Amino acid sequence: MNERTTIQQNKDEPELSLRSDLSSDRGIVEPVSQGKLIWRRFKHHKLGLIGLFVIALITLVVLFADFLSPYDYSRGHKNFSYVPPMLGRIHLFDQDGHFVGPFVYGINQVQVIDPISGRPRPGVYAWENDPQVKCPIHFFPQGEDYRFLGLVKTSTRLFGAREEGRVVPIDQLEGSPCQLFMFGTDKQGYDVYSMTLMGGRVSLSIGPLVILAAFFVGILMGGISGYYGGAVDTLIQRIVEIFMSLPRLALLLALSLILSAYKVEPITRYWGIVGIIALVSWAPLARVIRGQFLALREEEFVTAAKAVGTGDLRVILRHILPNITSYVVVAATLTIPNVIILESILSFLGFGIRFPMVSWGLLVQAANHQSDLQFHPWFLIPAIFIVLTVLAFNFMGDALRDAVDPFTVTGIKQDK
Amino acid sequence: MGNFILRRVLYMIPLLWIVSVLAFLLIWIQPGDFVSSFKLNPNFSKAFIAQLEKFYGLDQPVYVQYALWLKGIVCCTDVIDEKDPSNPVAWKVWSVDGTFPFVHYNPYLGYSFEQRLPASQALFGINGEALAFTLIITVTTLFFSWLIAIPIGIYSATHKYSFADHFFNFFSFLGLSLPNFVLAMLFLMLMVSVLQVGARFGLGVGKLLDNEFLTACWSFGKAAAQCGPWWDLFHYNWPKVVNFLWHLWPPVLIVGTANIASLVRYMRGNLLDVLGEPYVQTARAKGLTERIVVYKHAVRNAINPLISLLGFWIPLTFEGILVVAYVLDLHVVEANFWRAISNEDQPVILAGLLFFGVILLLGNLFSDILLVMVDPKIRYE
Repeated sequence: MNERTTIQQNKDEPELSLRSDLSSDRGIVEPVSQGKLIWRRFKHHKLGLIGLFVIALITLVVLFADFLSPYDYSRGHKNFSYVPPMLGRIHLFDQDGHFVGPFVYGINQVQVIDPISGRPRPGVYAWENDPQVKCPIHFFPQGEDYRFLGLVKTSTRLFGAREEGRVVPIDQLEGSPCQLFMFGTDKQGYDVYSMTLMGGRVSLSIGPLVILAAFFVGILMGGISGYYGGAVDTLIQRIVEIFMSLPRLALLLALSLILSAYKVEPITRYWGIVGIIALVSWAPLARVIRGQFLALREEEFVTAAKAVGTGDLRVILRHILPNITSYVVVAATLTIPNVIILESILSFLGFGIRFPMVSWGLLVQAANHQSDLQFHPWFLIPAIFIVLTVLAFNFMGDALRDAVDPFTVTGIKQDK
Repeated sequence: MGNFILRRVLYMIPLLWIVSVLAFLLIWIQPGDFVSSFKLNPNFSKAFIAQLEKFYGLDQPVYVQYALWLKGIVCCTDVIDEKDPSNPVAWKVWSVDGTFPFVHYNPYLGYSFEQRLPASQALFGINGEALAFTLIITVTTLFFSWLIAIPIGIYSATHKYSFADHFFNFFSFLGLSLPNFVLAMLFLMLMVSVLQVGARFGLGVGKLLDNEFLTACWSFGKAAAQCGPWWDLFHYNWPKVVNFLWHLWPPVLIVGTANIASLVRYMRGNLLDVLGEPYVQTARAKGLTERIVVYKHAVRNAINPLISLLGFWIPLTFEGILVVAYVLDLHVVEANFWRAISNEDQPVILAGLLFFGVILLLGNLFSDILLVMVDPKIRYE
C-alpha cells in the first residue's frame, strides 16, 4: 500500500445525489444506505467503473477457463512446437470473398531457407498456412475431458477448429493439421491461450486469499493493540515493527525454500505460498488498523456501549469494526494488486507456483531468454494479463477510496 | 541532535539482533545442513566431516550454532592452523583458490560450500564488486527517481486537472501496474528485436559489463600486469567505465519507473493537501508571487512526508533490482542472493538476509535523521 493519490472529489456531488431523493414523487425522504451513497459516488468515477468491469470480465473468463479453452492446458502437442499465435489467422471470408464463418487453414511446419546460402537452416522451422486444408471453427465441439467448474465431467468446449469434410476422433486430434492455438504454443506444444486462462485462476485467487488471511491477522492484532492499549499495545507494536524490519522479497524467497524442501503436492504448495505472502504483508495493515481503533475507542458511542455493560468482544465486533469496514475494503482493494505482483515475481523467479499448476508469472518466465524474446514474443502475452488486472484493481481501488471517504483528499493515511 | 542519533542507533541493535535470530531460525528449520551433502562424497574422510561439524557446531544445539555464527560476525573466529597436518589434503585440492575454509575473515559470515568461497565473497563478489554495483545502482536509481518525480508531482498539483496532469496521472498508474520484470523484458525486446543495437551498433544488452571488459582492470597499476587501486582516477581504464555506464542506465531506468510512478502520486497528493492550507492562502493574500508561494511555502512542507518514506523506498529498490538483475543478468548482490537461494546455499542465504535487513534498518535510520534535520516540527528530545 505504498500509493496515495489525490483525486479531488467534486464537493457538492453527494448533495446533488441526495436531492433526487428529496424530490421523489411521494414527497417522503427515503433513507439512503451508506452502501448506496458509496455506489453513487463510485459511479461518477469512469476509470473506476472500467476497472470494475475489467475485473468482472477477467474473473468470469478464468472461472470458465477450461470451457473457454480449446485444449487441456497441461498437455503438450509435441508435433506443434513454437506455433505463433493464430488469433490473427482466423478468417471470415474465403478466397472468393464469400462469407463462410470463422475458419483457419491447416498449419504446416516448413524449414526456413537461409536467404544468403539458399539452403535450409538446420533446426529452424516456421509454420505456414496450408491453403488446401480448411478448418472451420466449430462451436461446442467435443474435445479433451475436463471437469466443468471442477464438478461436472464433460468434454464440450466452447470452440475448436476441426477439419472440413472429415471427422477426426478426439484421441487423434493431435495429428490433424487443424489446430487453433490462439496465443501460440511453447517448445513442447503447450497451448499458451489455455495456459493463460488457467493461470489466471491462480493469479487472481491468490490476491483475495492472501487478503483474507492477512486481514484476519491484521485486524486481530491491530484491533487488540488499538483497543486495549498499554502493555499489550506496546508488545504488539514491537512485533509489528520487527515484521516491518524484515526484507520482504528476500524473506519470501527464503520461506519458499522450506516449501521446496518438503516435496509437497502442488495444491499444498499453492496454500503455502498464500501463507507466506500473507506472513510478509499483514504488519503494515495491523499498524493502520490500530490507528483507526485508537481513534474510535474514544468516541461517545463506544463509551455508551461500554456504559450499558457491553462486553469487549461485542464492542470490537459490533460497534468499532463496522465503522472501519469501508476503510478495510478500500485497503484490501489496494493491496490485491501488490499481492498479484508479488506472486507473479515469486513464480517468475522460479520459487512460486510450479507446473502442473500455472500462474501468469510462471508463464512469463518462459520468455526470459533473449532468443525467446526475439523469436517467440508471444510468450509475453500472459504479462499483458498481469498488467491489465493490476491496472484495473488500482483504478477500482482509487475510485473506491474516493467514494468511501469523500472528505479526505489524500485517502489512506499510512503512518510510518 | 547527537543524542537523538545515538539513541536511534542504539535502538537499532535489538532490532538487528532479532532479525538475525529470525534469519538463523529460518535457515535452521530447513532440512539438511551444508555438511550433509559432503557425507556422500568419498573424497572427505569421516574425521574431516567430524572436524567441520565441530567447527560449525552442527553437532550442538541450535543456540550454540547461532552463538558461533554471531561470534564470527561481531568478534572473531577460531583460527585453525592451515599447516596443521591433521587437516585433510583433499580439501586444499577441492577449494577454488587453495584457501582453507577455516581461515577467518572478519566479519566471518560462514563458508559457501557450493561456491567454495567465504559467504561474504560469494555474496558481495570476490573483490566486493557486486556490492559496489548494487550500491551504485541503488543510489543512482533513488536520485534519478526523485529528480524526475518531484518536478512532475509539483507540476501535476499546480496544474490540477490539466491535460498534462491527466497524462502524468495515467502514466503513474501504468508505471505502478507494470511489474519490473515485464518492464525489463519489454526493454530487452525493444533493444534486441526492434532496435537491434547488438547487430547495428555492436552494443551489448544486459549484464553490467561486456565480456571483453569483465576481467579488465578498473585502473592501471604501475606494472603492466598489475591493477591499480579503484580510487586512482588518473590511471582509470576509461573504456571500461564508459562500457559500465552504458550498461548502468537500463536497470536504473527500469527500477526507477515504478519508483517514479508512486513518488509522483505521493508528491501530488501531499502538495494538494498543503496548497489547501490557510497559510498558503495567507501567503497569496500578502501578495507573494505564485512561484514563491509554491516553492518556498508549499513544496517545503509537502516534501517532508516523502523523506519519512525514504527508508521504505530503499528496500523496494532492492526488490526491484533483484528482479531486474534476474532478467538482465546483472552481477549484483541481489543476483548472488538469488543464486544462493536456487542452490540452497545456506550460509550465503543467511548472509543475504542479514545484509538486506541491515540495509532496511540503515535506510530507516537515514530517513529518520534526514527528517529531523529537514523538518523543524519534529521533536526529538
